[in-house]
Amino acid sequence: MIHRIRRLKEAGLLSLNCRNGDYILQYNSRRFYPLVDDKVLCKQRMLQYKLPVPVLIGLVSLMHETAHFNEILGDHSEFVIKPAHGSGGDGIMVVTGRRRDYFIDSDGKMIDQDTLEHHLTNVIGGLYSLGGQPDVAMIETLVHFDPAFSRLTYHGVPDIRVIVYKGYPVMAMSRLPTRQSHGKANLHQGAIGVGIDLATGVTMGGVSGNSAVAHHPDTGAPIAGFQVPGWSRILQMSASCYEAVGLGYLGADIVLDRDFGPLILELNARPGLNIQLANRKGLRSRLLAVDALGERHDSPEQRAQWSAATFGNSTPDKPVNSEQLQATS
Amino acid sequence: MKRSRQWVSLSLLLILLGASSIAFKVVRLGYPPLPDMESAAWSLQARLQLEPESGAVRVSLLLPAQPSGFNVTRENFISRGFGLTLEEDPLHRQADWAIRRLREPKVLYYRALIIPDTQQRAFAGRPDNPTPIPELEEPLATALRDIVADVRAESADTRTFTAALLARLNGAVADENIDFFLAELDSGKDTIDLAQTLLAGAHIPTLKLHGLLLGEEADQRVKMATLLAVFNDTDWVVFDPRTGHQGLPSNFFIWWTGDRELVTVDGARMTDLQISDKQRMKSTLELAEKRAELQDSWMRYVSILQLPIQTQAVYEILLLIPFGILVIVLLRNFVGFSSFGTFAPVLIALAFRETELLKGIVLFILIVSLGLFFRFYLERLRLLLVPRLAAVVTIVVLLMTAISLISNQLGLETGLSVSLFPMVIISMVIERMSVVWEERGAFASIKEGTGSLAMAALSFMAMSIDILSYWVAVFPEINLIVLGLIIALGRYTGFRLLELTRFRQLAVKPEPAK
Repeated sequence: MIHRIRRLKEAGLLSLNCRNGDYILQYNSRRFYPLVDDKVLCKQRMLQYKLPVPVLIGLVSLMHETAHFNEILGDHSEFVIKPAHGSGGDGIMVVTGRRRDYFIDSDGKMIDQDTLEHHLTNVIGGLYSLGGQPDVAMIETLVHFDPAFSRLTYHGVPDIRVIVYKGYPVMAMSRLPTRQSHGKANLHQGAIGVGIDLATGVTMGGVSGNSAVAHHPDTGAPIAGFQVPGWSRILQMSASCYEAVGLGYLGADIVLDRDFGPLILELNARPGLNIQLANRKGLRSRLLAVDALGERHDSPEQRAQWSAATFGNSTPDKPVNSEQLQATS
Repeated sequence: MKRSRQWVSLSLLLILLGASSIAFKVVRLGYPPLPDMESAAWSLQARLQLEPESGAVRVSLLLPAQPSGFNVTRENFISRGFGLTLEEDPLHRQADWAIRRLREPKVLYYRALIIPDTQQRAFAGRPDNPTPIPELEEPLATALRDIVADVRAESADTRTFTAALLARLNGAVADENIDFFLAELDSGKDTIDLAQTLLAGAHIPTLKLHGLLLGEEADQRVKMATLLAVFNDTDWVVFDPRTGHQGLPSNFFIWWTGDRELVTVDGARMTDLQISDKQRMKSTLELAEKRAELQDSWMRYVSILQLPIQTQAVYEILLLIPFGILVIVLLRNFVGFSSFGTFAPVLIALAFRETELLKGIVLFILIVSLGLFFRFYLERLRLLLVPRLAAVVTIVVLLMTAISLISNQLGLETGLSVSLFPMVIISMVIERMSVVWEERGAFASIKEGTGSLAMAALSFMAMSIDILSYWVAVFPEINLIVLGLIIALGRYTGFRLLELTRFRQLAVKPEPAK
């Protein structure tokens, strides 16, 4: 066991305690949390900083408004309902079409008006929000994902998660929905995590749960070697999030829209650690490399370039040694 | 760097504070570190029998003042008809009884409870003046000088001088000068007086210690014994003049010191003086509290045993919660368990205290699964969130009542102890489980529910360690140690046990750099 601990340390694995204690507590000021925890605020911020986001159709914040849902919706037939304070993808309902009085969800199931309204009241009542406070239901346009991804996804929308530390993208992965995840790009729910080479935007091997997968379980397409389109733009966008919300350690969730290119879906102040499994690499060594830069005032573009040049697959991460660990603690 | 040092010092400070407070109570005040410990205490009684003579009667009894190694408590005097005054000095206490006319024989009693103390105390101060050489007639004066010269030649200091002298006095070493003195000795005088005279010949201050060996002859007429204390320029050293043994026996209770008589009577005749001691086993805890009270130590207030009994019962549970929480911290941040609600398992664990572990788990599973069943039905009714939660709470209460009624009919007692089951917590667990059930499937939901239950069980086991409930009652400051530990754990940023498995793939040897 001691042996494994040492190996994991050398591999630069970032543990949950370390992420919480040394990064989130230190670099994520609590006053900035609402900017990411409240998805409505987050969207406003993104627009302020000219970062592209899915269009907000409307908000439902009062119980009686659920009855007027159709008016808010207008003639949109494809949309997503999200709790503004949701976490971990809970409470997200994806509607891909309407047929007479029914809605069709991402699995192709028919949903009647009542079910939809009940879901809205659950969201407003705070069933999915942190701490159970009353919440607001957001209705967003549905993202039509870039067809480049079509062989790597089952229903749902694949997204790209980039961890940004002090404004520098340090690691990225793509999350591919599967039949098991009901079209949701959430690793907890069974989506596949795929590491992405930060230099090129080419996918590497994937993981489902904790085990490696080479092919998408539903489409059978090989997972590795796929070029994510518009990669340098994605890196720049995620780097810009640092200025937008002021969090030193954040996860940016980006989707590729067929028509609008990369869109920022949401930001996360406590991004999960599974990205390390998807990339087969520890985050710690990369975080330390950013720390080693010291105080610089680079533009988001410069930071994205630096990250691409430093954290590419052709330049292996330096193993973490004990001196570095001591220097930071 | 600075901040990291601060938590270390805070945590150490708290642990130190708690530990030293407990140590003080155990070592200095004699609080028992284990429950149900008993210690010996003695009831001491002096019984004076008086026969009338004539006129006003005055009786003085010397009282124990500062007995080294003991505390005197619960003193009482039985002396109907007599006026009683107490004279209290740090080193001298006495009771004075007085009566104008004594018409018939009368018995006076003095009673006290003697409890052992944890520390030795000085029984006398420094002697003031150098002891003068006693003025004796010849040839005794010469004999005295000879003895002092002989003994001094064989000794190095006051202590060895006294030992050598006592050896001669007791006949262990032959000395004709001593025999001369012994022959001169009045029959009424004791060898101890002779020893004092001889020691005075060498300018050595001496003091008689009168008292009794506790626990030697239980419940009988006890003979008082006298020891000799010798001042060796810094301390008093105690010798038994008859045997020459050095040191104060731990069970020797010093009643009074010096040349005074224990009892002096004016205007009456004392026909009998009877001293008796009786050993009694007392709870060590009770004695420690008494001792703390006598020493007026504020430490005695740091114990929930000071509170009214109903409040005590509440605090015995409340003070255990930090231990349960410590277990949760360990399980979450070191092992990597997750549960519904941060500390919900502790509250469930508290409920287990009423039901016992296994039965509690069965009840919990029963209520949660029935509740889940109703919760899924409520889901179909499309109730709003708050009324639905309220309905779940109500259903849980009804379920608990039903379980109690049924088990009462069946004659099972477990179902009746359900009352303290935290129904709101259980309702929240049901709600969370059903959400997870829908969002992530039955497996994830049951897994998380089982995790919560396992944490509750472990937390319960920690809280039901018998010794802990005793410790928190007597040493509530033990929670300072727990707080210190929790703060120390709060800066643990290493791996969790389950992370070692979760990220095992990263533990493969890194490829050599190209």
